[in-house]
Amino acid sequence: MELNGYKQEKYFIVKAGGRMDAISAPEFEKSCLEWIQQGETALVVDLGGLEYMSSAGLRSILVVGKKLKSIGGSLSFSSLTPNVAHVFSISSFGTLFPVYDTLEKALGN
Amino acid sequence: MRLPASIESLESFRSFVLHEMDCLDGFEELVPKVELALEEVLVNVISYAYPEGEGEIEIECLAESPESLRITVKDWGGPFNPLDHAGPDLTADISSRKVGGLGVYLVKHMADRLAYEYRDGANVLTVWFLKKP
Repeated sequence: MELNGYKQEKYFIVKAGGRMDAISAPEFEKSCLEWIQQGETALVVDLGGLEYMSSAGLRSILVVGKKLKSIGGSLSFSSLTPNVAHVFSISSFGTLFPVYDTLEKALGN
Repeated sequence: MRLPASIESLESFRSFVLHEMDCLDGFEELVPKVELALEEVLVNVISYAYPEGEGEIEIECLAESPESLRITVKDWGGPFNPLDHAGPDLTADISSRKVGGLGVYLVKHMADRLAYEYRDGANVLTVWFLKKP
């Protein structure tokens, strides 16, 4: 999985690409929790480059979401590819987190 | 194909099934569903089948008809029917939503038919995927 994060105004953008599966999801979770630890509380995860997500990815997202919720932060997603959007939809993750068509919309532009 | 029940085997099982599907020809449209269901089933077995130590997983992938792909996953752990488990509560809010439990739910969504049996000391889970007309 390709993963990188950077600050943009009040948001912290996380770009995840490739595959978020049982092998790579722990890396996503660990990195996000570290960014939160460093004080980032408004995470926007851009999944435009992510082709595949399994329940391990959903599990890590939920862990990060719960952490942010507990400290009054926010977690939203943008640019889901069709396969990832399908997994989000059947797991009702779209009701747990705001999901936007584009990163620009997620940032409120 | 038979390999140790460890997370390191995941990629080899995936490559094997994708290669088999490639050879069978005409099943490309099923790849996303098969890939996801396969990971979920395998991770389940790897996590729970052999609490006492090491064991193996065997998988088989074949076309039952030009429209139907059948994947069988076998382990020699204690009898365990993954299909018996209650599904996740999809209406819970983020604070009360349980972490985990989505794997089998996703398999049920991706597969067209599922069957479990405990046969000759092995858990045998068979998953069917059908091409859409």
